[in-house]
Amino acid sequence: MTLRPVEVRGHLALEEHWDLRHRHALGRAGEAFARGVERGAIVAARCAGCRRVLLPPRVFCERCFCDTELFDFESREGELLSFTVVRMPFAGSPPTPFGIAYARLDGSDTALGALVEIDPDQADGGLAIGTRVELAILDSGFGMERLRYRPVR
Amino acid sequence: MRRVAITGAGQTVHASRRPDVTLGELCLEAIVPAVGESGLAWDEVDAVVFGCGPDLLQGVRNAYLPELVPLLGAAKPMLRIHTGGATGGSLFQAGATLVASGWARAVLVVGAEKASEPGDVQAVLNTMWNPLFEQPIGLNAINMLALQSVRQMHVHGYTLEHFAEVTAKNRRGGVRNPFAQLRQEVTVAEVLASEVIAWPIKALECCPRSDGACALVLVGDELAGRAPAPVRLRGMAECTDSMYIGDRLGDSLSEYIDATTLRAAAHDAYRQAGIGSPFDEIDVAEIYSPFPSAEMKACEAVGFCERGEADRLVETGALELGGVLPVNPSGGPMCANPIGATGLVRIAECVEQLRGTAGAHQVDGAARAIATSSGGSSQFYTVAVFGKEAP
Repeated sequence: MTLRPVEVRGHLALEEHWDLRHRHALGRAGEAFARGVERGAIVAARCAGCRRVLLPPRVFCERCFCDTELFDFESREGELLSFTVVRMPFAGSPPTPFGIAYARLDGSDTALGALVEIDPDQADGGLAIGTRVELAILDSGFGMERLRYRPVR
Repeated sequence: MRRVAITGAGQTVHASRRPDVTLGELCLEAIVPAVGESGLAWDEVDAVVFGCGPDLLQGVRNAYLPELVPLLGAAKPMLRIHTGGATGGSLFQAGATLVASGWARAVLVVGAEKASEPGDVQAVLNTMWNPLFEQPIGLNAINMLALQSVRQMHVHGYTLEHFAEVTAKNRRGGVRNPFAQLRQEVTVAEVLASEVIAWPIKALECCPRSDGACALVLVGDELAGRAPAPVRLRGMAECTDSMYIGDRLGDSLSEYIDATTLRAAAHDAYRQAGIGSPFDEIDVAEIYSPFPSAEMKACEAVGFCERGEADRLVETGALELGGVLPVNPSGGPMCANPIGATGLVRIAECVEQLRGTAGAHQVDGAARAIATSSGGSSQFYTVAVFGKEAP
C-alpha cells in the first residue's frame, strides 16, 4: 500500500492505492456450478423438502431448512422477468452498454441473473418483460462471464 | 419492555465532499448537538451504537476507532452495525432495544459516511454482491434499482413521468431543507431529458454521493424529562429478505417490487403503535428512497395505498408538502444520501417534525410520523413509528 499527499479543494489529503489479493471460496454449490459451466452444463439445486429447483444453486433451502441436492439442469429457455441496460460504467464492470437480465428458466422456481444480448441503439435494449429468452454458454470466460441470455426469435 | 424516547437529534449539513474533516470529526458535528439537546452529561451515556458502510467505502479500516472510541466508548460498550443502506434504521433499532430492555438508560446512536473518499463508489458497491454469481453481471446500487423500476413499469403500469414527478417533488423538498445536499429544483421535463444511467433510471433520478453524519440520543422514561420535547417511539420492526434478487421475482411469497418484508415490518410496527389505517393516521413519512421507484414501492408496502396504486398518490399530489400525507418533505435520500447515516436522518427528520421545528418543510400539526430504511439488494428493511405522546 502506498500513501502520498495530494490537495483536495484546498485541503491536504492522503491518497492511497490498495494492492491486496483475496481468494474467495466458491463454496460447495458455487464450485459445482463453476465447474459445470466449464463442461457446458448448468448445475442447479433441488430442495429435498419442497422440491423447488433453485438457481443459483445453494446447499440449503431457506424455506424448508433442509439440504438440497445438486444436479445438471437441462432447460435452456425461459421467461424474462426483469432487465436493465447499463450505460454508465464503473471500475471492473462489463463494457458499456451492457444488459442485465433475470429470467426463470422452464422448470426452475427462481430467476437467474445473467448478462443479456441487447440492441444498443434502443434505450430499453429491445427487451421486454414476459418474452422468451434462451441461455447460451459461450466458449470463453469464466463462470457467469460465459452465460448470455438471448431473446428467442 | 420499557418505553423509549428520543431526546437529542443532530445531523450535519450533507455535502458532496468534506475534505476538511475525518469521519470521526464529521460525526462530532452531529453528536455534540444531539447530546446537548438531551440534557445529559457525557458520562450519563451508557453505550454507543455506531454504523457506516463497508470499510472499503471509507478506505480506512475501522474508520471510527481512532476518534470515537477514546471519546465516547472508553470503558463503555460500543457496537458497530452495517446493513447497507438500512444501517441507520438498524442502528436505531439496536439502540432502542438496549434502552427498552433496561440494559441501558441512555444510548448514543451515530451513523456516518464519507462517500467522497473512494474513487469509484459504484465499483465499491459492486463488491457487496456474491463474487461468483452477481459481481460479474455488473450489479451495483443503480442497476439493482433499475431492475426494480422496469418491473414496476411492466406489472403496475408506472411510467417515466411518475418517476420524474416523484423526483421533482423531492427536489422541491431539498430546496426547503438547509441540511440537504441538493437544493436546486428540477422540472419533470429536465428529469426526463437527463442522461440514462441504467434504463429506465436517469441521471437526475439518482441520489447524490454524500458526506454526512447523524446522531440520536435514546433514553428511558427516567431521563426523558431532561429534554423539553421528547419524541416517543410507538412501534418498530425489522425484516430481512432472501439473498438473491432472482428468488424474489414473480415469487408468491416474496416479490421484489412489493417489498414483501417491508410490508411485514410495517404491519408489525403498526400493530405495536395501534395504527389500523396508516394513510389516515400518519401525518408525515420519511422513506428510504434513493430513487423514485423505491419511494413508490415503499408507499405501497407501508400501507399508504394498495399494491400497484402508488401512481395515484403521485398523480393526486398526496405526497407533496401540503398534501394528504407528505412523504420526504425534507427531500429525502434523493437530496442527500450519506449511506450509513441516511436511515438515522429519516428518524431525525421525524423528530423535528413532531417537535414542530422542521422550519420551511414543517408539516403543520404533525403528531405521528413513520421512518423507514432499506439496504442490501432490497433485503434489509426497518420501520419505526413515532409520536408526541408516550404509548
